[in-house]
Amino acid sequence: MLYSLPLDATPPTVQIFNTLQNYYLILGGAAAVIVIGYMVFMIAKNRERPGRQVPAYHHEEGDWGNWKGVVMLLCVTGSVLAFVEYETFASANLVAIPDPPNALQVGVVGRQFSWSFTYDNGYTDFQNLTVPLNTIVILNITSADVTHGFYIPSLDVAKDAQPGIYSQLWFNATQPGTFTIVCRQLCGVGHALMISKLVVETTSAYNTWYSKLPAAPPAKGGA
Amino acid sequence: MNAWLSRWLYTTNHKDVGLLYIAGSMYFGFVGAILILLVRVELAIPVCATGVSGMCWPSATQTFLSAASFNQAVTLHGLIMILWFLSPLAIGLANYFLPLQIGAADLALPRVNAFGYWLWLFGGITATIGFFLPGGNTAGGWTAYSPLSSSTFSPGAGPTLAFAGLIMLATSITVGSINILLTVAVERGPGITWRKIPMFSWFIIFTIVAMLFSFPSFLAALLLLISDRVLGTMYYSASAGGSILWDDLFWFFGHPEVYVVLLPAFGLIAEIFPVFSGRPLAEKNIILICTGAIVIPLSYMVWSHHMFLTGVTLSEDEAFSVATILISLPFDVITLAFIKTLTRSSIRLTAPMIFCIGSVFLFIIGGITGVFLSSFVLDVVYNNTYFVVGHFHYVMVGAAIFGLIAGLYYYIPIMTGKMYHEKMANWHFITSFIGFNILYFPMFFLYDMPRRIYTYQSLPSWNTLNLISTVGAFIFAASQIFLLANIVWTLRAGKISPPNPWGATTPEWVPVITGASHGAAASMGSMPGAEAGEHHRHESSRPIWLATGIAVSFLGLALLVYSWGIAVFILGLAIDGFAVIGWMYEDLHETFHMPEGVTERWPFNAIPKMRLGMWIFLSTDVIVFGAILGAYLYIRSFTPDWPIPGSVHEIPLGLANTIVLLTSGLTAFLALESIKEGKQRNMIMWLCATFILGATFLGIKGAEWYNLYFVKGFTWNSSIAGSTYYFTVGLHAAHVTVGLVLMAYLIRKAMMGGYTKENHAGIENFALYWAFVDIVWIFVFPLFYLL
Repeated sequence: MLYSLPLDATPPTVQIFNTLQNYYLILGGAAAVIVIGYMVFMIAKNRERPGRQVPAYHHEEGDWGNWKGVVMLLCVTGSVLAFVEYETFASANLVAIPDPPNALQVGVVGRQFSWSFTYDNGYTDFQNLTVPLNTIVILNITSADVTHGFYIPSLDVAKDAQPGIYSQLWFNATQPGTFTIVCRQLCGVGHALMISKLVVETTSAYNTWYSKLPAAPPAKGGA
Repeated sequence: MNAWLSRWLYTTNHKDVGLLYIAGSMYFGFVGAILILLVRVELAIPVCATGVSGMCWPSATQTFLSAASFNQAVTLHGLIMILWFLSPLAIGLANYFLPLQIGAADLALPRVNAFGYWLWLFGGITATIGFFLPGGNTAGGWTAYSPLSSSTFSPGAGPTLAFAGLIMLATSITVGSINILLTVAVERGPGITWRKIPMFSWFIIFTIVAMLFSFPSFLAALLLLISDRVLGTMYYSASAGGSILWDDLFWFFGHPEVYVVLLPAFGLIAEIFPVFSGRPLAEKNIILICTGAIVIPLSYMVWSHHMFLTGVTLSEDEAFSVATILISLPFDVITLAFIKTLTRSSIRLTAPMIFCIGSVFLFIIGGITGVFLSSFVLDVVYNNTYFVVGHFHYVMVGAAIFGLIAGLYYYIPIMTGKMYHEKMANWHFITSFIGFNILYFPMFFLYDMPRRIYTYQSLPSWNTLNLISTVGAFIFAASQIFLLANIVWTLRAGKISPPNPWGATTPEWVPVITGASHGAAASMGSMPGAEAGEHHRHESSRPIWLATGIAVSFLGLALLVYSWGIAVFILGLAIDGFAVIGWMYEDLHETFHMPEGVTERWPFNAIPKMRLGMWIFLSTDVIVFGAILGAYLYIRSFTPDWPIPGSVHEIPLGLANTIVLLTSGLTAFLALESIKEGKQRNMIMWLCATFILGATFLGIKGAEWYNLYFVKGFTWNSSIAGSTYYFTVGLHAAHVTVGLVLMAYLIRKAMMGGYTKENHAGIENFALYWAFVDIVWIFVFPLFYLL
């Protein structure tokens, strides 16, 4: 769905998320279908109806019932779960912060009810987060008042913004355009309208924009 | 007073209290449903602002609910549905049927049970009053994340009242849990060994254990929050770690609470599946072991999966993700054991069974989506979106409510003596099952839509799904009319039920104990409890007054923003004093009569029970103090400029006071030793000495506080050091004060000759409590004075 914004070149974070989600969807869906299907089949087969002979139940099971069956079940579900958990660990680079030499660092501050973005030169933008194409961007996120949730739906990245705590997220935008940034942690009456724009520009357009920024005012409310 | 009214207000009979819980929870369920229907109407279609770059953008105006009303509605919907509808419905059934299942004549402490009910009910009312106050109710989500819940960002009496209501709820749950555990441990009828306890009771025991260790953490978190809001202490507001502190304390309670809600429904399934399948439950012992593993320790090891995005380290994410995966394994086993019970069976598809099957069906979907959420990578996207909302409603509404409704139909013959309308119940299931899936399944596809937003931008992928969901909400809500109509029909026109209509074999249907009323026929023709006469209802007016007093004093506390609030507060304390003295009067003069077989009466049998109760109570209190001392250490680690030891507190005075308190511990012990030798006069003397030393401790503390507050200007709202000092030491002083009240009662009773060499349980329990108060101080003193 991704806010219905088509993406030509899939950003790496979205790739990681989609690949991982597919494992969960396929295995989880299969498990649901098998278990629910088996249950419904058993109910249909064993339902009380005229002419059906009630199966005799034998107390052949001891106190511990069919414990071998339980162990086997634990092995089967355990290995499926271990597999998806392994895939999650393998996808941890969605949340682990990379350390490339030329990454763009931007400070993000959430406040009731807007986001602000502070660049290396001290310039603070209260509307848009502008970043260059195909560059790793690292955001240092905090909050000036209550807990907010920083979320870029089209890039599948998110992190909570909490007062006094700095947390990081990274992304690499692979398509120019304008995308939505929203708040995902209830933060008061303006929560639903706490929306900013992510503007992705080509490297040259970004450099032009960056060089024309007004002289840095003393860091005010910046991260 | 009108006999009908006095019966329901003053009853302490477990059946009556159970019915009160069920009726009360249905009322709150109705309130919670209305709130969320308003929310679903608001979300049915996007409301667009025009002219914003050609896109349909969320609009702040023209919405059905204002943002403030919307936030209050979703917040109270969550609180009410979880804490005042789901859990209490299960507690109501447990109140009614657990004693029957284990052959007890009543709960161990009937008046405490009634007190718990009224405290719960008044807590719910207190929490909802805020809607009608200027400024409205709490609006930060049911999780009440700090610092949004502070008085800076959520000012007014409404939120304070909501948190006060939660404190009353947590207290009610704690005393209720102790009561039920005691009943199971001490009051089981002859022949009911641990191995013979039926499955529903077993699951209630597990539920109670989960409550017992999770709610104290919630209580501690709420006490800190109320103190922040009313007194201006700075636990959550002034410190960098404040928001995480709340997250940890809250979710340490919040995750086990999920199982508190779910397990009673599982207990009912384990009860109903075998009865309607015509065969025993498969893998009974393995189910019990798995449930035990879920409650302790797994449910306490996973809370941080609610905090994957709060900036914790990657290794923490990984550890809690693995723990969360582990907790799904026992659930796999339980679910498949339930399904195995359906094999080699003859299944009667009557209402209780259909609802149980629906519950398992929906739990499978809810459980598998829970595995999705255990992945800290997928959670980056799913966190706080409608995917999460869909998941936990499949578990809490799907699995839990369907199971509890199955329990209602299953037990209606016992509760009313009549049989419900089967056709109507079938239609109830069909409409609610379809409505439920229309309501919640679309939410899994809304995994990029943040929850708790009152207006949203128009997106083709969102609009249709939200509309479908709203339609489903109305179908699901309307289907509950079948349930209400069925209950009314049963009471008015239902056929008399045979004693054991389902052919069940558990003790509540098949009498194994003489004297207790069992099976449907026992309550035939009238509401249960009535046939027993006044003696068996063992009425007492004290519980409801005590709960009223607490509610009124909290009301006063929240209204301190107005000048007359203090008067309300004092009125509440006066009512409490009246109720406590009355309660003690009933004990001193034995005017409260218990039904046969219940052993609250002294002199005999009560000794191990009361001591066990005190131990369980102290274990919950350990968690409260543990959480509060933990909060102190945590918040201190974020605060760089802490006063040097000795600069604020006078160490010699504190040390002297410590010696006073420890000496009082010695005298309390000597009082116990005296009565063990039968020396009543010596015991009274030592008790008086303990009282004087305790009062001296409080006096010195008072002088210290006066000096700190007025002379040194070291106040609770001036610094975090002040906040933590006054709160922790104050909580300890409150425990000392309660000890003084208990001692006054003990001394009075001792002077009437109430304690002898053989019977001195009261003194023993008091000595235990007093030793605990001493031990807490041994931790508090160095942490606040010396470090």
